[in-house]
Amino acid sequence: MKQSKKGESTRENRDLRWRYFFMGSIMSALAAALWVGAKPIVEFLRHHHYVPLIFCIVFLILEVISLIRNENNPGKLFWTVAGTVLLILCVILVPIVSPRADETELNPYLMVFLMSIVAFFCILHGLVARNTYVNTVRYFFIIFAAVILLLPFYWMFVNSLKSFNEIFSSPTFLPKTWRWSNYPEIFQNPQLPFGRYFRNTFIIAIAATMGQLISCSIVAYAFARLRFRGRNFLFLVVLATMMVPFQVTMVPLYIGFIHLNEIRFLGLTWLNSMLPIIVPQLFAMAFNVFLLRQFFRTIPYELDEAAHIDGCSRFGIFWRVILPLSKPALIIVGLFTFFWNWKDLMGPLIYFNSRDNTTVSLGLMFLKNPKHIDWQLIMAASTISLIPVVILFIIGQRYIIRGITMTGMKA
Amino acid sequence: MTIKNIIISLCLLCAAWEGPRALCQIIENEGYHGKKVTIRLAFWQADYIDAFSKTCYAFVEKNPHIRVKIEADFWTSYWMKIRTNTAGRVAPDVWEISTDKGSQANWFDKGACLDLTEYAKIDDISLSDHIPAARKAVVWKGKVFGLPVGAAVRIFMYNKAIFDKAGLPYPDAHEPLTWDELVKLCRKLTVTENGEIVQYGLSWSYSSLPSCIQQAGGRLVDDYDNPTRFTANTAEVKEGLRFYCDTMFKHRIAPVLSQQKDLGFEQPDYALLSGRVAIMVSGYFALPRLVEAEDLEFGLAPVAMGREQGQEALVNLFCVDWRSKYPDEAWELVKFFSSEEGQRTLIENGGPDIPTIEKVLNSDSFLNSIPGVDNLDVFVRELGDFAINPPALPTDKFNREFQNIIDKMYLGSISPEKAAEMMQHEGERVLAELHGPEISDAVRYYYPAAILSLPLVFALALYLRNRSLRNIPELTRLGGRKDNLAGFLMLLPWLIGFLLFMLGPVIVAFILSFTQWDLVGSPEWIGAWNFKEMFTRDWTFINSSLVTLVYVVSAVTITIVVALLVAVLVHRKTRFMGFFRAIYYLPSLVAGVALCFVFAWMFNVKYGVINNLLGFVGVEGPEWLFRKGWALTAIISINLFYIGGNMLIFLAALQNVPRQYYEAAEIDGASGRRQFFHITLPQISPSILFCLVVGTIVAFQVFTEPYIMTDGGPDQATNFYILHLYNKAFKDLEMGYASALAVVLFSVIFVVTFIQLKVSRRWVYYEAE
Repeated sequence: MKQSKKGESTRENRDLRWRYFFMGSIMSALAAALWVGAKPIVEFLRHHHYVPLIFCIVFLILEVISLIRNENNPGKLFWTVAGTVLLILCVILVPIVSPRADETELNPYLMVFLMSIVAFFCILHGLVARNTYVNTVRYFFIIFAAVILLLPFYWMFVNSLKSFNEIFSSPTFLPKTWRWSNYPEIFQNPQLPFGRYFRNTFIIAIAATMGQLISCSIVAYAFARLRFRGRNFLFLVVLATMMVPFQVTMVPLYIGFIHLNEIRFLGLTWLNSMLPIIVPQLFAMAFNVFLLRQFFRTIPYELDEAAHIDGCSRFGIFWRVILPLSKPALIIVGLFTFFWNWKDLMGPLIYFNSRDNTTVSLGLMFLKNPKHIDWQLIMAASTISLIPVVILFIIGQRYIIRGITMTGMKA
Repeated sequence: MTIKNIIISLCLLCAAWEGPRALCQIIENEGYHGKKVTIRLAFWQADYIDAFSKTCYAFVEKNPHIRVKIEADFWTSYWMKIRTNTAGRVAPDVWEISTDKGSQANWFDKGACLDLTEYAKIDDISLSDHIPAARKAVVWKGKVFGLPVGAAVRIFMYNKAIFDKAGLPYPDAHEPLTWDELVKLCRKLTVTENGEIVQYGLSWSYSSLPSCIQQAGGRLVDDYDNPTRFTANTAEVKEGLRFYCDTMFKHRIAPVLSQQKDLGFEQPDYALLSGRVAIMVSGYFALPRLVEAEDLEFGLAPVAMGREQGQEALVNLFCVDWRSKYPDEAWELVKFFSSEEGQRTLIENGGPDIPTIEKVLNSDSFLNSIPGVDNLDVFVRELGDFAINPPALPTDKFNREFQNIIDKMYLGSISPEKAAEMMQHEGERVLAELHGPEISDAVRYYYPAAILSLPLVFALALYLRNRSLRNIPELTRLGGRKDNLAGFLMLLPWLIGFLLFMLGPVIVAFILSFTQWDLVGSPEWIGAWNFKEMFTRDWTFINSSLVTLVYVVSAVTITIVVALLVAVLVHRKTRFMGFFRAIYYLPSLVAGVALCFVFAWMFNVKYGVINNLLGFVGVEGPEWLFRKGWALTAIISINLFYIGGNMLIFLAALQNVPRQYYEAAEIDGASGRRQFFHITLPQISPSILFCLVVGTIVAFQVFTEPYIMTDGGPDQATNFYILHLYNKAFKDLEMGYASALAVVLFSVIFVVTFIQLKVSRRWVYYEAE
């Protein structure tokens, strides 16, 4: 059975795959040339718009032939019909939709847009899907969505390499000249000390991460393993605090820090410094406690009991049994706290208000203020500001995704 | 090249670790070794910090016991900083105020500046050396609050090359053009190519609108120093507004101001540098950069006149902070900067402002201060003869309402005549409110009690219903003994934080919401007036609530529905699944200021990738962030990128659905669609509920996107709730009102979550355990 199926598919499928691959390659090459903006090809297509049409028609004819030859594929008829309709729509709709086209000309871009979709589909079908159309469509959308979601990152990176004049001309997908010098330029502006911003953000993020890891694991352990009066009620309170928006406590906290600053509490400055952002985060936050508690509860009690019998104290169990076993959860909590602090805007916006001393997110905002907006520098600074996050994400990606799927939580 | 630059960046990052502080300088007399007092000085002309520091050197030369610490900043961020710093009692000793739209009166009324009348009397300072506009700016209700340092007026600056090319004579430096002549001239200078304007005849500046009203003979209030009646609906005001709008929309000789940057022009103040503008309206401060520009020949001319000549002058004054520890030394610094010597030093070292002392104004120090520009006397005539002060209307509220109306006018959604009527309406309201709210006893005492008792009643009811909660079986074992003390100790890291940073502040917020407090002085109990005002008068609040509601509903729907679709798509055995999952999750993880900037740029009308992709397909994209209907859509659609978190949760849930159910359904002949709706959805409904609840809470708190991308604009279309709250708290410093807003938000979130959880019992399916 298995063998016969394999034998059946070889010749037939290889033919089909080559055909798709060939068709797709030609069309995508054409499309790519157009997207990049090759003038002669645009001009050629403007006057010879039937060329891609011929390609499409040939493709469809081949498709119909294979439909007749290979009847067991149920989805094929549907897709052939769909392709035909698409083609007809192309011919009819292009001149109507496109406002630029006058009576004799077609808009080559719309043509190419549709073509590139068909081409992409063909290649994909030839490559991965082994003749089940539904699967091809699925992959088509998966890749399409991934491309869309990555577009902002790509766009940010590309624009960070353009010059001021190029950025204010119609956009291209590649810079004409790759101006890597935009990157050093960010750090050379003495009025916006980005190095200092990075330092501040790192300090805040790392301090908050350490604080959360230590305090949350202790609290979560108490909630997960200890029996004491009012435990369930207090845990409900923890859950309820997740509902309180930061903005409710924002004003009183700000006023509180003003007064701390005025009396120089502990001899420190409490405004225009990192302290008001770090200090509250040294104490356990509800989300993290919840996440860690859920994880701790998945660790079997037998281990605790065994350690107990071996003479381990409460703290010993926590330190020697629970913590080493919950490394993945701790990594998630750490990463989330780091990420959250890295991108936070509201806190720095309230507590920092000078250009000399602030965090990266606020520094990015200051880039927008001066006399003229250098978008390429904003993009370069944005790119740099994302690098630590992306690197950490790539390293901890496995844990993060596991953690979310495990506890149903997100950043 | 590439690697070299990367290495340079890294080195710079390391070198800049501590960061240079270019906007911060300490200036002291090195020769003096006695005890020194440090005075902090803040101003907003950060580009001209050298001129100020040189003047400070001259000052410490004479006063060796004073050390001056300069903290310069730029216009927008400066005001943000000063506002929060005065409230936080950490403001510099001496700081600068500008008379822009009468904002000086605001500061004086709040008591943020020290009353300097006595000092002026003792030192016998006579203000009569200064020009009249400057004299008026520093006196408020008979008291002196500061001393003038410089002034600014705007004049015409024209590009000689463009005039030569068009074969037109330069504008006269003495005789101003009339409005008709200006329009005629600019029409000839405006060049259109392929239906697109490539060169404009005129470029307005941000202060041109009040000037136009002025030139038409219109006045916004009956008396500029002591306003009693609002007069914005007079024919003259309307004429001024009409002329201003016509240049942009009817004659199309000037670009719409708010879009100038995004059209790729330079900032209005430096529009000549682009080479695509014939005449611009700008001030003295712009001249150094114009002179530096190589291929630019330019000339100066007075601004055009309508019925009369005139414009608003901006006067910059230094004042002493209310909490300054060394008011005497601070006064010395203020006095020096305002003196003849100080102003002369400032202008000779490239200061950005025009001196206010008439003697300095007419001396060579000013008239020859910019090498290569000879007819600086245009400024002198404009400032001395025609400049008037902006009306002293001491409310920020007024300014902001006013700005909203002007924004609407820029968008072309209301006519200038309508705008004048609306201004009149707003103005009358604000004038009437100046005397403070009248609060009845009911509002002051009884309503707060009622409001406060609501949550208590609610909590009690909840407690009585859920008393069974206490009987949840204990999950721990370990011999069954209780560890009350250990438990308590281990909870401390949470308990302290909870009391100090959560429960305490929430209670304080509740109490504050019944008061009025601008952080200067002490809070005043006004009962439920904040809430009454909110629901009956504050249209911004109602608007922002609606906007936020629309956003919450659509954003939550999008993130759940699309995430579910994608999860179903990826769920089946897929190659590179981990890779795709990571990519889908990445944007929602790094969402923040950086991505907001990218989106803002992607949504750009002319150079954004979205409109250009649409253009490829033949659709003309809308003006996303500049149109009232589209801005909210744009911000909502960003959520399409943030589906990753929800998707992962759904994916996990989908993988936990037992396969047998599908097999059984298949045998029963259920179609794919029926399987999805009758097996998949109920099975993953707990995850959907979780995403719904968390997503709603998060969506209510949206702040970064509107703050970065639109700042509430256009015409408040994206003025989200939190943005409104933030503005109230940290721009207007109405802490009581902001707390009331926060309390309302809290209640709404609480109620919505409660309802969601209640209703969920009907549709969420929990596996029987």
